[in-house]
Amino acid sequence: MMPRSDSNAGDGTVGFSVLVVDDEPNIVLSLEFLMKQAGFDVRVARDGEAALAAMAERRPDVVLLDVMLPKRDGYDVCQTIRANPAWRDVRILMLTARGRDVEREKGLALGADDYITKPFSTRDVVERVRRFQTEGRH
Amino acid sequence: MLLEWTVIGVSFAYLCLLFAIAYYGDKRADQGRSLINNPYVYALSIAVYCTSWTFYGSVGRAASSGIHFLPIYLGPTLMAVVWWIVLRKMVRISKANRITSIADFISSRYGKSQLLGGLVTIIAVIGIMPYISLQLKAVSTTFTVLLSHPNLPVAGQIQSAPILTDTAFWVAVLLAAFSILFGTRHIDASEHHEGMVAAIAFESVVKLVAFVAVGLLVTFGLFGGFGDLFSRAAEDPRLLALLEVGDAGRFGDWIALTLLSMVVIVCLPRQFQVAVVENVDEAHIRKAVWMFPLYLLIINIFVLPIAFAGLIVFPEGDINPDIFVLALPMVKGYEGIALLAFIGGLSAATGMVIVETIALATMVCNDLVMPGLLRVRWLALQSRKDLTRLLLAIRRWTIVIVILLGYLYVRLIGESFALVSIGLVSFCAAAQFAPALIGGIFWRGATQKGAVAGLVVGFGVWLYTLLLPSFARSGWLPESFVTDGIFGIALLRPYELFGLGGLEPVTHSLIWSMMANLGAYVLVSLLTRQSAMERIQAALFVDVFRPSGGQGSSRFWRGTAMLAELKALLARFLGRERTERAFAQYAERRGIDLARQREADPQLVSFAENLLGGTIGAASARVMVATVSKGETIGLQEVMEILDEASQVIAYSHQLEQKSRELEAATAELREANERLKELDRMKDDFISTVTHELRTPLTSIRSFSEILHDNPGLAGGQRQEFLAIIIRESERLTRLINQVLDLAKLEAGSMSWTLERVDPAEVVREAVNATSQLFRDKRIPLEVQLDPAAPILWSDRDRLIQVIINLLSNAVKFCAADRDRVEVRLSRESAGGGVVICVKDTGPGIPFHAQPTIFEKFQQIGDMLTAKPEGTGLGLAICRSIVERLGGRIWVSSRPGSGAEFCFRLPERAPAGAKEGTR
Amino acid sequence: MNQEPRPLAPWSGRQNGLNEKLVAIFLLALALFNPPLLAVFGVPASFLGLPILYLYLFVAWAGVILALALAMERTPDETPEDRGPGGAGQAGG
Repeated sequence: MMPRSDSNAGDGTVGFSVLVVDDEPNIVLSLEFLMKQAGFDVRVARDGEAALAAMAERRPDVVLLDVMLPKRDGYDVCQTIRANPAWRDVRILMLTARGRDVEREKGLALGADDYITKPFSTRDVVERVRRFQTEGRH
Repeated sequence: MLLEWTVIGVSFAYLCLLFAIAYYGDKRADQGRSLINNPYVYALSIAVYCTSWTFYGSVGRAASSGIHFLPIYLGPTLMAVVWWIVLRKMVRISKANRITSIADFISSRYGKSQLLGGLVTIIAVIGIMPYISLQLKAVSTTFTVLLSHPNLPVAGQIQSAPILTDTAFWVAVLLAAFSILFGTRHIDASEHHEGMVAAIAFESVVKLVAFVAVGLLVTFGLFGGFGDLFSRAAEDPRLLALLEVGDAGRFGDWIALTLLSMVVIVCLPRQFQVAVVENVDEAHIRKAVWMFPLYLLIINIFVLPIAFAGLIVFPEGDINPDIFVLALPMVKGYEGIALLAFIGGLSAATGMVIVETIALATMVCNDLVMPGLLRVRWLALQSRKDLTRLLLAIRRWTIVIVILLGYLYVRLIGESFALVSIGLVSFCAAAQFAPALIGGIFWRGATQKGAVAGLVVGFGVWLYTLLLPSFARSGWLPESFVTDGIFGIALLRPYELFGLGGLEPVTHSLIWSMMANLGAYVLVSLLTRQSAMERIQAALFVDVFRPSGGQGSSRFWRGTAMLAELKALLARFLGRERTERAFAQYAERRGIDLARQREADPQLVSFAENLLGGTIGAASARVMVATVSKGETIGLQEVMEILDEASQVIAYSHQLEQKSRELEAATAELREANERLKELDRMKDDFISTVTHELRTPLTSIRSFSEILHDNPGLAGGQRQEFLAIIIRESERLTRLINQVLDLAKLEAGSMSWTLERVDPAEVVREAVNATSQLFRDKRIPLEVQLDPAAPILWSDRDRLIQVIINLLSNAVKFCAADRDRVEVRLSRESAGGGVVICVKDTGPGIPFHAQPTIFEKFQQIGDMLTAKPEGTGLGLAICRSIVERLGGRIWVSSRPGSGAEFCFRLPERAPAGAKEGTR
Repeated sequence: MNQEPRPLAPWSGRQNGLNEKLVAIFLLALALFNPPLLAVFGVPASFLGLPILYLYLFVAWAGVILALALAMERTPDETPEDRGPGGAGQAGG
């Protein structure tokens, strides 16, 4: 069912890769720290276009995606990812500082797998990424 | 060589063809597949306007007066322009009221007055008779001319022959027979003569083709085209003069003829007949409006060329110009074209005579003879069983008599008048109907007495100034009548009444008769009152386009009648079968069963009167129905009430309309206000959402790093310091943001406290520069300060001003690249109006044009979405603007992307005192 | 403008400004066909071999007819309820 993910995460323990997309340097810094600490392979993008470029370069397993991004916003990026069949099994966790329900609905409707409101609990974020990892394994 | 029998044979064959067309047209009408139900036939039938007078007389007139033949056709064009307004209304009225003729129309409008109907009929018969005689004369003259071939009769050579050998007599007899066959085959309530209309339309085509054929032959056959013809004419000073309008007197003639022909196109009985009575669908007017003038234009193109050609070919002047159309092809040996021209002239004449006599016969029968007969008790007309045959007989005899009168007029007047002059005499008589006719459909207040007065006076003047003199010139009255005036009174000379000289007789007569007619009509109408019936009819006519107009007069009718008596009455005039059919249709339309009723209700009585009016005219119908009905039409008082009621309803609905318009406007305003509120709401929502976002962002960092530090007590010292520094910076950012949001909220709510005092702007700038100097040092950006010593001391809020300048300075620093860019702050005195201007200019990246208009809005950070997110809250400039505006100034930005930006604000010497609304 | 027929007072409804157009054409024709404009062309001159007055009158006449035809044919029909009791021989009462 997921032939492509096997090639990447098939060898098990190492190489579960996370792409952090946010334009706020300090938030990027904290997320990068947290993901590395959890043992994931972390890359960073500061805007929507950079995110897609990073995706094209190497497919991550999870994208932590902020909504309010320069150039192309999170929704746009999310939609683009979902439009590409090769990226169908990439898990998307959306982050937003705008707490309205509509935005949550919109994100999920556009294909995000999960949704987290800023400010977030660091444990919660790590927990959710881990859950993606285990889900992807069975 | 054209033999007599050839001409007679062809003419007769042509008349038979006409009759065949008419017969076919009637047959189609009976089958319900109308031949004439199309706008082209309608337009062509109106072209019955072009009689033999047009066909022969125009050339005659052009030969003597040049371009002055044209007003007779320009006038109808003018009227055609407003036909959609005038004629359509007449058609609508006539259909609603089953009008049968112009006499019926006028009589009906002014209270179904028998007097008016009779008067109009008499004027029409007397006035139009010369016109009919003109047609007879034209046919007989041209017939003689054609037979005299190849010799042409010299003017005056055609002598009055004994009656039985006089062609005019036989033409008259033939035309009378023809009119009877066409127009009075059966009595029809709708008074449509479809067959006749079809034949008339055909004749219009024939005369147009014939005239254009002669024109083409003359212009291109006998001459080398227009250019050749006109250049030949230009050699003759006599002809050259024909191309001028002439002096002021000729201008008067021109205008008078234009106006005259303009009104007669609706006032001539035959024009009223084809355009109004015979109209089957008022939508046809739409096309006729421009096609009829087009017809006139085409038939007139060759008039002047033929006239000039005639004058050139017959320079001795011994040939009557009235027969140029015939003489030119004949003398050049084009016999076929000559015969075609004769047939064209015959078409023009027969068409006119047929329609005119049928129209006159209807009028004479309905408005003159019937009312008279109904008054004569010993005829006991009211109890006779079947009157349809009587009606037909009356009409047939009328046709015979009218045509014979026309013939008599020819015999009496003879050769003394040109065709055009005779025609114009009739025109002038018909024009007398114009005030009562046209005034009647637009002026509600016109009264019967006014109409009678106008007609009588106008007709009287016409008789005196036009008809009697024509008798005098023919020797029937002493010549001194014209030269010296009646009883030798010079002021009463018929052609120079009251000393008005220098005009053509027709112009002269038109001026006096119209003045008298209009004057009497208006004056008497204003001085007299309308009866109940007049009021009803006036309302029905003038307001025909209002919805209630369709109801007809039934709402004014209170009389009832025994159904059987009513039916019997109608059957006597319409025949039993048609009466039964009409009643059955009525019952079906109303959904009632007449068999169960003994009494006819007011609506049915009104319907019956209307139906009867279609056959014997409104006035007679009213008299007849009154004999069987009980109860009268209602009194004046009640009419007034009903009309009042109607006008109240109208006024009320106007009010309603007004109200609903106001309501609509109010609704629109409300909707707009609501939109605005929604917009504000959305903006507020956006604002909160944005503020939330701006608050949450630093909070996120703070929380994350706090948790990281908390969960990882063993972090390396350097990293720990770094994370703590982030927490502190983000906390500061949070505080700044909260302060700014609060500031802005206060500014917008107007609750900010202001301390107005004497402020030295230079000191304020220095203060702000000091406060931000660290920022500049950090990025190693030079800051240049220029202070104008002439800057005045302000009355303003010191701290807020410092805040504004600090905001602008830190904003500038933020966008400048370290080590490279420069910033400059400048204080200058404003030359106009006092006050100061303070500018902060940087050499940074500048502001894109699209962002400039909104840069002072909240959270309108440039770079959003396009470049990396700048630091700052996005509220600084919004706060600056609020403060500057509160202090009575204005802030603006000028920037070219790529070469820096300059923010400036102007402040007045005195800030407005404490006014809250000043805060924006 | 919305063209939906107003339930109130339809007789007051204008007919697409047709009447105004017609009155304008009428005034134009009145000016064209009469002095003093006429007198301006009433000179013994010719243009393209045609006398100038003759030419002027027919061209002006044709122009008026053209304007009239355009006004009548290009202006759409009025609202249906404004059509009168149309066909032949229909009773009014």
